[in-house]
Amino acid sequence: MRTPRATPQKVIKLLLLFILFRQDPSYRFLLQISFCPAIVLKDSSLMVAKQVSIDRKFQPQTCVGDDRISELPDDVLVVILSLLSLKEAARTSILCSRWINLWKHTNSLDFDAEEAMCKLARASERKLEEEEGLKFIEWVNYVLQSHKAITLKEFKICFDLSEPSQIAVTTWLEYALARRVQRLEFDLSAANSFRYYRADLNCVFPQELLMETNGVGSTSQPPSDTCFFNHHPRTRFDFKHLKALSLKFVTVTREAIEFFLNNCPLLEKLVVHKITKITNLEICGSSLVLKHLELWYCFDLDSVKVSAPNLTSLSVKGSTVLCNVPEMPRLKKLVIDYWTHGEESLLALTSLIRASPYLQEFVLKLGWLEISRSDREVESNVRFPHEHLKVVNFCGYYGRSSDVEFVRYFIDNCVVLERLIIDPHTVAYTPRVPISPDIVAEEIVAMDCAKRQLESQVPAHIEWVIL
Amino acid sequence: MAAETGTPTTLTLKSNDDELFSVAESAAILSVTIRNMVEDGCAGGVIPLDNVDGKTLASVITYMNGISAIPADEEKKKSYRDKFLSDKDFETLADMVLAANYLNMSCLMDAVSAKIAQVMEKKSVGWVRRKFGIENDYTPEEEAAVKEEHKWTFEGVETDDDN
Repeated sequence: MRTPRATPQKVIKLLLLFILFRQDPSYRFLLQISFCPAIVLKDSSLMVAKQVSIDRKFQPQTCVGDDRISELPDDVLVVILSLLSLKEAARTSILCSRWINLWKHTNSLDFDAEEAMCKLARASERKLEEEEGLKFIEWVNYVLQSHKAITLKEFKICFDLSEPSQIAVTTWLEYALARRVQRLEFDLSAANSFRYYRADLNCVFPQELLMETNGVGSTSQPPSDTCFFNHHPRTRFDFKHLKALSLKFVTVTREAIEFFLNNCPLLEKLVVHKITKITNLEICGSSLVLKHLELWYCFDLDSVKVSAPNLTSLSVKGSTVLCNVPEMPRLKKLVIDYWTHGEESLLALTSLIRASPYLQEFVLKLGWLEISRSDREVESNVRFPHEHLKVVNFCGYYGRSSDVEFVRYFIDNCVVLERLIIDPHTVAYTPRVPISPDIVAEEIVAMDCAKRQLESQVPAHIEWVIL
Repeated sequence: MAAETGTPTTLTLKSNDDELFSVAESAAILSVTIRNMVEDGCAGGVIPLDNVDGKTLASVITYMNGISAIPADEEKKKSYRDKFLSDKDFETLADMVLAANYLNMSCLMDAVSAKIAQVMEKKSVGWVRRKFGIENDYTPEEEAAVKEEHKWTFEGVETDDDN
């Protein structure tokens, strides 16, 4: 048995807490297209030096619009195109010759292939995975070859890619870093459960990207002394601009994480999912500007110590032990994602709420593992006044005595509680796959329980709903 | 630079159609262009803004005053921006984006650009051409070639036509 280094006084296992800033899921690609070019011509080089020769047939029949957009200078149009999805921005090349190259100067490259990911999640076929993977790589490479931006605000890859794609992944990382990227995200999560527990199949963040210009030692083992990387004066890339770094299902070493913390003075967001071989981690420093930290499914990670003065959101998921519950005076919304079993009490989670004295909204997302209901006695004399908590949202209410107990805690302690939301639906496991009928039946039972158990408990002044 | 104490310093801005506007320095320096002038000591008299007309400048100043009155709360600032832009037509947005670009006001620039991008989102090529009166100067062969080259951009959706 390993013991955590810090005081185990507030040790909480299997814990996830995070603040939601979920971006809206992209609905852009859900509809089917009904537009396809019928004529195929290979040579488009003639477009480069374009002579205006207007074909009357292609003139708009009715000109309802104002042509003000064409009066905007190229640099303004590029800013506007940067806010569209990559495909939409590139599609504007078809508008007219002036627009043909504008999209190539946008400062954001977000390779979104959600449609293909959904297909993979549903089919779960190795062959399809390989095919789609190759297609994705081809697409990214094609775009990167034509794109001309000198600096990038955002570079985002989101696709099911594993170790055979390492060369492409390394090239893309180099591409983004060479363009002094501000927000770098590589989400190479598997679309389905295969590979989920096979971290050995993940791509890696190559250590040599963090080393000196001349590439000395690029093939040698990373040094064991972590100080090697600290404050290194002449790295191959300039990391000063990096504000957000997200590596999901990309293996990264502890040295690399420490490198980022030490060499990226603007780093506000650090997200790491599914890394292995790191057993403990310290994210501490009075000069850190880090606001958001997320460590998920780092199964070798036994303990993590966090102390960053500007932190407003912290999320740890997996079997990691949080050595300290950091005080988070700026926190307004807290989300705990927790997998429970049997009749386990949830009151241990309240220590996190107590660490955030100015909390206004609390969300629990309860996952169910061999869950059961009993008539155990409910603890009702826990007292700790929460002065600011107004909204409590309990997702995954199952109707156990422990669930009632947890709701009671809020009714008893939240002085200004206005709204209580009980959601008896299960926390979905895999976002792209439909829920089974068994689970749906369980949810109906849970809903009945919620009505029966809470009707008499909630005081009249609190607005409450069962979803 | 303005003294820290006493009454707040006001600046006088002049639009390209010779309208004069008074605005608190603390609000005006949201524009990096104006801030640089203030820092270089060129803001003593009237600050001429040659690329902005009076109507647009009045609107920009309303925004400057409104947003600088909100304390450091990103959510509140965002909802102010949304509300501020909600009733603006395309003509005004185009003027505003040019002004924001000239005045180097990144927060306004981003918000207005996002609003314009929204208009184009999920629309077909034909719709965007009609909406903005963009003249298609490709020959049919050229257009077909560009479409072929950008075939990958159609692997998604578009909400076609006039909605």
